[in-house]
Amino acid sequence: MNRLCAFFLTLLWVLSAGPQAKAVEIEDRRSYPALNEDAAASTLHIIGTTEAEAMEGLIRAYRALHRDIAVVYHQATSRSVYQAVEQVEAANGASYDLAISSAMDLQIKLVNDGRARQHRSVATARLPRWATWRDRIFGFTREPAVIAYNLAAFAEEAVPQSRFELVNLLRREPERFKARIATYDPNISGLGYLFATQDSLQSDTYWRLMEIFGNLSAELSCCSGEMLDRLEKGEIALAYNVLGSYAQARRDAGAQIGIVLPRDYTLLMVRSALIPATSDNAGTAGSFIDFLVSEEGQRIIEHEAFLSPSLPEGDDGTLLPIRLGPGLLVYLDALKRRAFLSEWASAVTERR
Amino acid sequence: MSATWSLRRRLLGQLLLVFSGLAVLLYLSVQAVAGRAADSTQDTILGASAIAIAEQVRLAEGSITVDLPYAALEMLGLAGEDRVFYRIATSAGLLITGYEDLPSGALPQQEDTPLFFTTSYRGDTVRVATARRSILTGGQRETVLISVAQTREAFGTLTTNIALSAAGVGLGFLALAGLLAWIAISRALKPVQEIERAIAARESDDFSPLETAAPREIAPLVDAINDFVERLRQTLDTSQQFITEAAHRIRTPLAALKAQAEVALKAEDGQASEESLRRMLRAADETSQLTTQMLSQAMIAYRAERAERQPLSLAALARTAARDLEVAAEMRGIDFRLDLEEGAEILGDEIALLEAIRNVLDNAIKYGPPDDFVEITVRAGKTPEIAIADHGPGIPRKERDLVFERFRRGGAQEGATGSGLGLSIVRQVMLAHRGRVRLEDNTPQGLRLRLTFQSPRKRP
Repeated sequence: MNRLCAFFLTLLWVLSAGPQAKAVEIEDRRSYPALNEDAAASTLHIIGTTEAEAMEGLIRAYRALHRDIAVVYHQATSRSVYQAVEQVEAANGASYDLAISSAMDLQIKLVNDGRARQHRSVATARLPRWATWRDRIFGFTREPAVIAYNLAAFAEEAVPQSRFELVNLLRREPERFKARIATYDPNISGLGYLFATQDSLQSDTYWRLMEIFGNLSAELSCCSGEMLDRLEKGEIALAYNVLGSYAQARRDAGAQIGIVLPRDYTLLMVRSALIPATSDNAGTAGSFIDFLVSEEGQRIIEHEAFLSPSLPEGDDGTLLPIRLGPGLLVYLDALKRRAFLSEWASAVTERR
Repeated sequence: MSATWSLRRRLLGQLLLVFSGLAVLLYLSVQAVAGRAADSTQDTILGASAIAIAEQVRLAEGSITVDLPYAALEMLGLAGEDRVFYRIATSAGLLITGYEDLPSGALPQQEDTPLFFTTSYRGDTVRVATARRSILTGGQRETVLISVAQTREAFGTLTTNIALSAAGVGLGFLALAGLLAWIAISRALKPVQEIERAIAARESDDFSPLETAAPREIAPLVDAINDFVERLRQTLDTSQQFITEAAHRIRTPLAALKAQAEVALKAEDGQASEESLRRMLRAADETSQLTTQMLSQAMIAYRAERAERQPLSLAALARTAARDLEVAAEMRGIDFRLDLEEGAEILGDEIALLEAIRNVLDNAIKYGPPDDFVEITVRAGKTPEIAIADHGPGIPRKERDLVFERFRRGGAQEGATGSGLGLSIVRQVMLAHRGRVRLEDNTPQGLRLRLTFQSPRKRP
């Protein structure tokens, strides 16, 4: 009797502790049928954090080159993209063939844990070292973390060009910026966490800046889009660590905002693609990666998808691409994350 | 002619075999050394990483925590693009952070020296460094194990690359060695080619010795060639002489025969004719014997030089020769007295030697007095010998060297028919057998002829 009891208890424990295949939350899904429907060869399932709108031009151009391939793009959060690839068993029966994410650390963890498939081609061989790791992850954009500001708010004043100047400005005129500045909340945004941790590695100025942000009751936001909305409306004057590609897209669309690439250093986020190990269409996924890093793909990314605004000509050493490498695993460590967020909270949240 | 093979190719093949063996050895040893070097390089980085993390282990609010240093993992990415794993846990197995299933290995003895081991993790071979750190929690000492692991692709590639370049160097040496060996062998073989050219350029009647400057190793070959050329010259000389003298000697009895025939034709009475016919018969006899002996000498000389040597009993040869000449001896009332030691063994050609012994016996019968005896003695020993003694007029000392020449007879030859070839044949046969012929005085009178051989054991 006791044994039977123990058996059922064990069974219960195994069932509850086993890999839980959580359904991946999809925010948006767009299907692109093959142009040549008679000879439809395969369907490429892409899951990505990039807005479906921005991906459309790329997918259409790719489909024009590969007329027998249908594409389905699933938009999801970076956490969902990670889960979709990390789960060995596909949640809904269909596996994803390509994972595109701006969360570089999560992408690296997937590769390090053996969840990505190797892909080698002439196109990927040309990538610079910081843009690829283990022939399994491929960076195809360079998007700066910028200071964005409302043009009207700085009509009569010079815009700070570096963090040091920003710190001085905020100290000089606290009343003017009280509750009128914003940055990512690293607790809820993966990209914000990445920028914050990388900033903290670069200089101590970052912590001084965050303390001032705390003192000035800065708004903490989930995403670049939200911060840009508020900037555009003039509800805030300045946002720190906004994704430059989105800001550029807004400005090109007529928004009254300005963009500063900080002169002391500018972090470059690398948007990356990888082929999940569970993909059953890896060859097609590889061809999509080759297209992303090809000259045509890069041209579309710059001029149509607005994922990579034109960077200053010639690198004077202030542009710092975040390296795709094992170092990114450090801030994914649960203890490390807790410690960092706790320090961040004491610098920002607890001062408000 | 046996199948030809190339000395150059064989030498080169053996040299290259040795050198390729050395190249393989070089590759393997460099691979081993490079493998160890790569291991130790990776260990250094892994150990530094583990210790850097160990230093960040501390107590916060009653529980053990660790502030993972960014550099600890980032530095592992500098050497290559290998996967990285880490695990921080108490020695009791309670996970603090990291990959729970990563093996930690044995507990290191000291805090400043991590332990290293190689294992398999998540389908890859990984090198693991484990460091330890002791920390006081609530009055109790707790040991924390910090393990950092990295796959070995970059270091494996490094090892292979180093070993491959070593193999490349080895192959380069191999090619160079082959080239040098080719040149060296060509130079070494040059004297042989010069000898070949010198011989090819010769006139067919040029028998002078080769004057090529040859290295010590080739000198025996040159000597052997010169020796052979000299013997060839002698053989040709002898044949030349033989033909000249034979022509001369045969012409004389034929001329006599012709003269007698002419006389017989002119004579009218039967008396003169009978005397002429007897003379003609005698001249014909002489011519016939001469021809026979000359041809036999040529045959015997040929045999003595060429025929294969067999072990022979000297006593048996003596008996056979004596039996062959028994009838001729009886006609003159001569006895053979044989004193034969049975153990006298020699190597030689039976037909040539029998002919030589028969010639000696024939002479003894011819020149010895009638109703006498001829002694035949065979002695064994280091130099087996056969001696034949008669009681004839003998040969004066000053003529002894001359009797061996062709067509020459001793001073007291009247009345006996002889070509003068007998002793010449004997000498030729004995020379071919590397033996000696000696003429001695017999007591109280007569000639003793001794044929001395070399022991068969000397020439196996």
